[in-house]
Amino acid sequence: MELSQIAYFVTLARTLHFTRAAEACNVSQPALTKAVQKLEEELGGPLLHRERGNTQLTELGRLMLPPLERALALAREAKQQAEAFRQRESSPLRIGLEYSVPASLLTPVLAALRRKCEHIDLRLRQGSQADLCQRMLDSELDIALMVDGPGIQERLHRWPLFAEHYIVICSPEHRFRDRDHVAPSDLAQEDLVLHESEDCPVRQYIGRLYESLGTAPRMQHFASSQEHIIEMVLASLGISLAGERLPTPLPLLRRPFDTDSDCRDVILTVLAGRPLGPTPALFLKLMRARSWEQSDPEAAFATAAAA
Amino acid sequence: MDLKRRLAALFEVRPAWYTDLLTRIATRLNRTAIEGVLSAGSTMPDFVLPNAEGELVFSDELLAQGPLVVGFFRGGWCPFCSATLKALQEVLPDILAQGATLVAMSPDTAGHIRATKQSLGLQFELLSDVDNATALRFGVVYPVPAEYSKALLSFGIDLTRRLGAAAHLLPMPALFIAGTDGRLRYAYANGDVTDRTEPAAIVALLRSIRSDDPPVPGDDGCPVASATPDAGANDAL
Repeated sequence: MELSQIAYFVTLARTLHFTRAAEACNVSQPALTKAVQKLEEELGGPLLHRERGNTQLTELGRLMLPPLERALALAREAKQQAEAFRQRESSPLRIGLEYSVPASLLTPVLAALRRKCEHIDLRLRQGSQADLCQRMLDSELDIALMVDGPGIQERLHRWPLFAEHYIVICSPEHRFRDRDHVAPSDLAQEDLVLHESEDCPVRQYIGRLYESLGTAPRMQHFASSQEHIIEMVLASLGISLAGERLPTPLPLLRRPFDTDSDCRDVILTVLAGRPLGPTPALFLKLMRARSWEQSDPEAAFATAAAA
Repeated sequence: MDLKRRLAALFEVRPAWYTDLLTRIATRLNRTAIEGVLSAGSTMPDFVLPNAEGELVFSDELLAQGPLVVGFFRGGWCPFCSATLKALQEVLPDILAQGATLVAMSPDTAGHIRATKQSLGLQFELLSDVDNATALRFGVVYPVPAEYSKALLSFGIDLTRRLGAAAHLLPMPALFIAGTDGRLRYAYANGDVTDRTEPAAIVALLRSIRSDDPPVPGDDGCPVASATPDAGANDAL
């Protein structure tokens, strides 16, 4: 496929008018028509119904428009990225992390970016899913890592990174120290340390768990950050749950949380259809290219090293 | 055994319905898509892509070191591409001896590039051309017919997951060689997955670039990319 063919088709799909599309693309109408015909030949069918005074997209045209529009934008972005980096220009990189999604996931990717670009203007923001979604819609964030769920806006493009199980974290003195794993029924009568935000996915999961058990924690303590939760757990105020990719400091104990099917999907999201600046676009490529499998020795090493 | 024969042998052992499908796709691509492929004499589009180790690779940094050989392959799932990559590995010392760099790229994401590099024991850069953004600029991308996506899925190859995209676009197998000035000296793409530039020919082309440096076929930008390479290029192969 030639980029010009795609560009002509995308313009034609917007204007639904051959003459106006040709003017917008700065080519003659026969040249535009010929290019679109070639694209149709390549795609194996007509993209447009051509009736006098009434041009409409065919079903194939409607099907192919979004991926071709995206391909065109990506090729243009790729050109800008290479040029921006050659001139050592940078653009702000604003990343959102939903509560309980650890920043350590970003470390190897940010380090790779930093090795090639000294002028990264990075902003990390933690928040609830609703808050991060709104900030993406308002162009205050470029990219966010979230826990997949029904609340994620349709307008966000999402890529699954990995699925993770939950772990129980507790102090070295806790009765779970001699356990290989912890079952949901073990949580009854425990003191819990939770994120203060009711929107925190781990807190929501724990809430559903207690509801299904028909019981309640003995005591609940609240903190505004993962770091605070870890310190409170270390001080034996209670136990907590976390995603298994959370790096934890010694001597905090980690025990697999024994449920057959409970795991959560961590996803990468961007606002569909909005072009990214050169730095966020490269960050996105690095994130999507890498392996997020837990068996990946590098990923396992990163978690262990951070712990 | 030369690459062409190796690929032909792989082709022969596939089920007839599958090779028929590959042949139909190749015929269509060589009638239509091939015209959009960049030709020798064009300026090579620059790129910045993640490699198998998760680092960014800049084409301008590679070009500063010497001529650049850029191969496009469909993915680590494709046996024809894997055989080609292994054949390229065999001539890597000869490519490096010419002061050139070899990179190969596919739109595979999610760690597949790394897995391919490790499983094939490749010592050259394998890049993840996320969303085919670079391949589009080289003009080698085509939309995968739904029939072919379905066939791959029946073999357990889920393009949606590998590409991280619901729209299945793949590059035609292609190979380009750029001089240090960034101009393409050689361009070859073919919709037929068994028809690729012979690795020995790459070394010969690099040698000729090194000795006389003028672009092949000349400064007039006369295209080399076509379904069948011209006779002169074939002799060089």
